[in-house]
Amino acid sequence: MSQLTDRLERDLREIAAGAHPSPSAWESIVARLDDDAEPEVAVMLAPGPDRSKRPLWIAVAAAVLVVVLGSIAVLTRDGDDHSISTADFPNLTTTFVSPRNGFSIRHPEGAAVTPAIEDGFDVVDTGLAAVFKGTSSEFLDEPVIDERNRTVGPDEQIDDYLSDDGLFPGGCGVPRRRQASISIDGQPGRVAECPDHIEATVVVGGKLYVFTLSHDRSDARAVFDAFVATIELTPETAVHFPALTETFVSPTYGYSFRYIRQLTPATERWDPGNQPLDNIDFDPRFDAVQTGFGAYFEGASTPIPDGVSIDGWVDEYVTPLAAGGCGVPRSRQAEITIDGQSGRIAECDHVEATVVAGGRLYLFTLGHSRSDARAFFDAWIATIDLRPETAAVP
Amino acid sequence: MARVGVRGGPDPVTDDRVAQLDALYRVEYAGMVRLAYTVLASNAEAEEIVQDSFVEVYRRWPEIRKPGAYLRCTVVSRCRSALQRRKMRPPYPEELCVSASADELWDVLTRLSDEQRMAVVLRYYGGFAASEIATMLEMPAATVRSHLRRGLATLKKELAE
Repeated sequence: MSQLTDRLERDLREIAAGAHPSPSAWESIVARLDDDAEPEVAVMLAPGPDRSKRPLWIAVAAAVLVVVLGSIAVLTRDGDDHSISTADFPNLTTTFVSPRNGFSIRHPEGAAVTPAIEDGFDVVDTGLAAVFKGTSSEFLDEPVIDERNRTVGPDEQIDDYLSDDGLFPGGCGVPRRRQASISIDGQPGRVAECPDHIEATVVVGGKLYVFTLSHDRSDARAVFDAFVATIELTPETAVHFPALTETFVSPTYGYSFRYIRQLTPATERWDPGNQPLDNIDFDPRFDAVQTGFGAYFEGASTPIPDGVSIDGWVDEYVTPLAAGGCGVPRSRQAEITIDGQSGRIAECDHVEATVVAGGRLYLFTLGHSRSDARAFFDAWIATIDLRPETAAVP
Repeated sequence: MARVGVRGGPDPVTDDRVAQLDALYRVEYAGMVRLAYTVLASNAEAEEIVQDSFVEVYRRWPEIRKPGAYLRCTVVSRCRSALQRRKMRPPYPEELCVSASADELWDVLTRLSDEQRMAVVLRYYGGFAASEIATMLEMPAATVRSHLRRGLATLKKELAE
């Protein structure tokens, strides 16, 4: 325990001692129970969605959507015939492959297509009073326990997700379990229709896809069905983390990498062989990036002492459990290539990679709460440029 | 719909609920007020938040499996809301009657982000693990750890040790 945390505990206890809980608090609470009794019962008998306090899984899911058109009947694929049985809607002849959301769709030639840049919708504006949108997000198709210890089923999770007007304005608001069935690329989904909007959802490969059609057409459902029939779902190609657009050149550690927002350069030197194995108090030793996407990157490097075995030294001083590492012997870790150099990588509640270049040991880690953390980590690692000759001499 | 009262109505379920709430009150009330006070440094605000939270627990009792955990989450959530409200309407500051060391700590704490401040108080006063704090703050444990690291880094820099 450091002096800082000792002081924190001591001084916080002193501050807390300044509180003076009222001896008549119970009477005040009981009076409130009586006052609130009737409306409370109504809440208990008819619980409604609490939209002011969204469960954690909704925040984690806020990455993706796919919009298409909806239908109540079960659709079947019709081979290569994507004609629409309406007089003024052209056939769907041009293929669009979403760069981020893991699907492809056909649309009329000449439609204006706006791919999703980061999270959000791919948009196909047909110019014919019909705009299709599509997106996807990470989604575990299983019940979860929310912060109130209630079991929330997949349909209810999707309902809550879609009820966010900031993400899905103009939704139909029909509970998913009451929606009609629809087949999208052979997968069972659900579809809802309201006056100027159709929305369909399907869960495939750990992704929730959402397709919508905003329209002002009497044949909207037929148009929607035709689009849906062209969809091919490729969840393995979906990317739900942001592009790394900024470049950071470490003034200390001899590397550069790309990142997104909230970068904090190291203010202290990392010297694992001579510092306590405390992974909290010495955070200023690392260049850090708080992405805002459930992922926290850190990087640092240090000269390798003369005469040591790299694997043994890393195991003892760099990534032991006591230092917050995975504790996996480096010799048994998987291989990874970082800027052309062969390194090692381990995954536990975080991802950590080590690589040697120019007599320095580099450590890169990703703390996360993402199911696609390794892909995110690899995307970051791919931007790293090792420049050991530029590292500040310790 | 039957009316349920806590005084006049001989409703066995509700009476039992009040008794259980009373038991929870005896165990948790003072501690929760101290926790809220450590975040807000306002006795009146801390008491109001904790009393509101007990009423909320009573309302949600049929849905709750762990009333104590739910109470803590509710208190923490309301403290966060109170911190956000203060940015719009700063309260009249209450005088802290503490040592110079604690007073200096409080000064630095108030300059941390709300999340860092909550994480530090919950960790080093409440004694909660990052995973427990994550539940209370409704954020990933990794994010809690990053708030702790950054909060500690600032405290270490600002405090004269």
